[in-house]
Amino acid sequence: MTSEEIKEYTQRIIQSNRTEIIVVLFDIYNKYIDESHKALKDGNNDEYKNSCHNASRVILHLKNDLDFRYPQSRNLYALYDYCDRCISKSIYSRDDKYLEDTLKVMSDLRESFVQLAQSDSSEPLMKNAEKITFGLTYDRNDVTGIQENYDSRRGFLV
Amino acid sequence: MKINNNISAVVTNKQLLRTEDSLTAAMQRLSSGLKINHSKDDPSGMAISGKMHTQIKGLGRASQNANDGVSVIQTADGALSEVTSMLQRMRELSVQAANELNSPDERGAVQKEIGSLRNEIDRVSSDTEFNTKSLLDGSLDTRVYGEHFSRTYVSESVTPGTYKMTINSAAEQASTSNATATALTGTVTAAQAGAMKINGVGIKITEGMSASEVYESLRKGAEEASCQISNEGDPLKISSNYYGKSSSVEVVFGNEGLRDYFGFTDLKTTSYGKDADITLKTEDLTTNPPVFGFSKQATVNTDGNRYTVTDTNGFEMEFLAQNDVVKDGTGTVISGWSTGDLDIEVSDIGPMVLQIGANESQNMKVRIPSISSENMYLDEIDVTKAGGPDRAMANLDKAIARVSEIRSGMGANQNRLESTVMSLDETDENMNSAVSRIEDSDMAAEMAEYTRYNVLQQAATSVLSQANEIPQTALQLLQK
Repeated sequence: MTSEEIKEYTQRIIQSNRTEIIVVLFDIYNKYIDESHKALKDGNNDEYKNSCHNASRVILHLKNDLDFRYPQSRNLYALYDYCDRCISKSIYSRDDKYLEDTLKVMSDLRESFVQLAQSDSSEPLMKNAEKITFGLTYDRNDVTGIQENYDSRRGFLV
Repeated sequence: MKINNNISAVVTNKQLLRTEDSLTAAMQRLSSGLKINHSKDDPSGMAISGKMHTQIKGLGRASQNANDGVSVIQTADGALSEVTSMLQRMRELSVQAANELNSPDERGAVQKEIGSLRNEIDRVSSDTEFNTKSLLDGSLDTRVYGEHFSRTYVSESVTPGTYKMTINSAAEQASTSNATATALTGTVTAAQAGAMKINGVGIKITEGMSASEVYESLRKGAEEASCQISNEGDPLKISSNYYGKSSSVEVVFGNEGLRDYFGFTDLKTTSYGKDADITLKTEDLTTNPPVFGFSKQATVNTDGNRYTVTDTNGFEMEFLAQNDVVKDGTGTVISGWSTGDLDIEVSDIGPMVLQIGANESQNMKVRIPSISSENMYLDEIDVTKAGGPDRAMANLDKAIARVSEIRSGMGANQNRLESTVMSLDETDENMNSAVSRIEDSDMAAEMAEYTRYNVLQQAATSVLSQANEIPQTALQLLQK
């Protein structure tokens, strides 16, 4: 990921509520799969493995977030496990077609979480993070960002 | 467009994240189920998985661990299937190279392909992993400790303990010295010119060649014959690269003049190597304290410096013994080791421990031996040398058998784990149905579509089932 992309995802995570953060995880997953395709095309095996590792770590997070007291977790777990095995296969066989199989699965799941997030009005998980609003205040081509609750000390006072 | 960077929040988050690095390391080990820690580690609690709810039901976790174990074994088996194909291809190539109609160039091309396959096997060995955990590079192999040996392999039935043996005499290479014990000297005359062979490899010595030129031709021919010769200027000695009584050096001269030039007495001389002489130290359970080790029925077989100890019940221990003694002119050892006591300590660490029950003692060990070209002696394969193709086929047959043995052991473990998953799911009353294992992309597509709608239909519980990520841990997923 570039620094810009890291900032973008950081921003999204900080501002997410509990469901939105899951959508961000899916987006991060897609990003790493993209990077692995590119690395394989460039013939860079180390970079390819690294990107696959990163994608695998996202799956690990999603798996570990599951609460097995609720029945949906079982199917989700089975799908994540399948994706994990595909990633492993794609590393040792150096063939990214197995990664394509995971993208189909993950995009279906992402769809559902996007819709769940739209109807989840709970607060962002990170308290005291500033709220950022963008608007076309003065010009159609000039987007201004306004920060509310901005405190450079973030509540810490020595 | 102004992009706002909440640097202070990011900095604060980074500080928070640092304290959680160690938590993350523990989280990754424990939550993947691939435990190296003692089974007393408590898997429950918020620290483990970034979950916001504190309770992880013991049985749910155990079922997941067993399922992860099956995935590990399946992944390793898939990779080993590819390794088997490569070994079989290497064997085909060796058979092809054994055909004496092949020119040196053709055999060179075959050896090149063999070399590429060997490198690919090593790549698969280091790259095969599940959840970022390496599987085939020895990470999940039983750890064996000791000096003066390497390339160790122990079968599943070798129990932890110290196994001892004494190497009374090491394996020796076949070697032939000339009767005169002199170095090559003088220009080759017409009467001395002719052809000779070392292990079937022809060398032409022509009239007018200097001793240096003869030495060079001899050295090149010896190399092709899998032999080495003594240094120029030293008494002539031709030794096989291989150890043990199966190694041999055969020198044949085309005429007596050539024989005399080299200082030999016979037109044909054949010498053989010697096998090692080993005494196993066997157990004695009657003494106090009892001495553990090899049973009285264990036997050792040697192939050069490669020793294999076998016993009943599938007990097999194989390793490559050190044998590299260098002596000076008076016969005093300057460096290396070849004889003496060997203590082989087989530990009980290395294999993957899966917590498959709610209690401490309910765990299962899954072991995957190291697979590499070195462990399978593929580095010895050179089909361009005399005798190379035959040796290659012998090594490859052993390697193919070894991989097959490992796969069948893993298959047995997989069966045990799968039945564990089923029985755990039956006893857990909150589970309505067993976790399915998706085996192919069609099944995955069906399940994904079904789950998509199911998740939306039961929105509230779907959120509770999945939306348990903590931002601090999510941020750790971001890296360059």
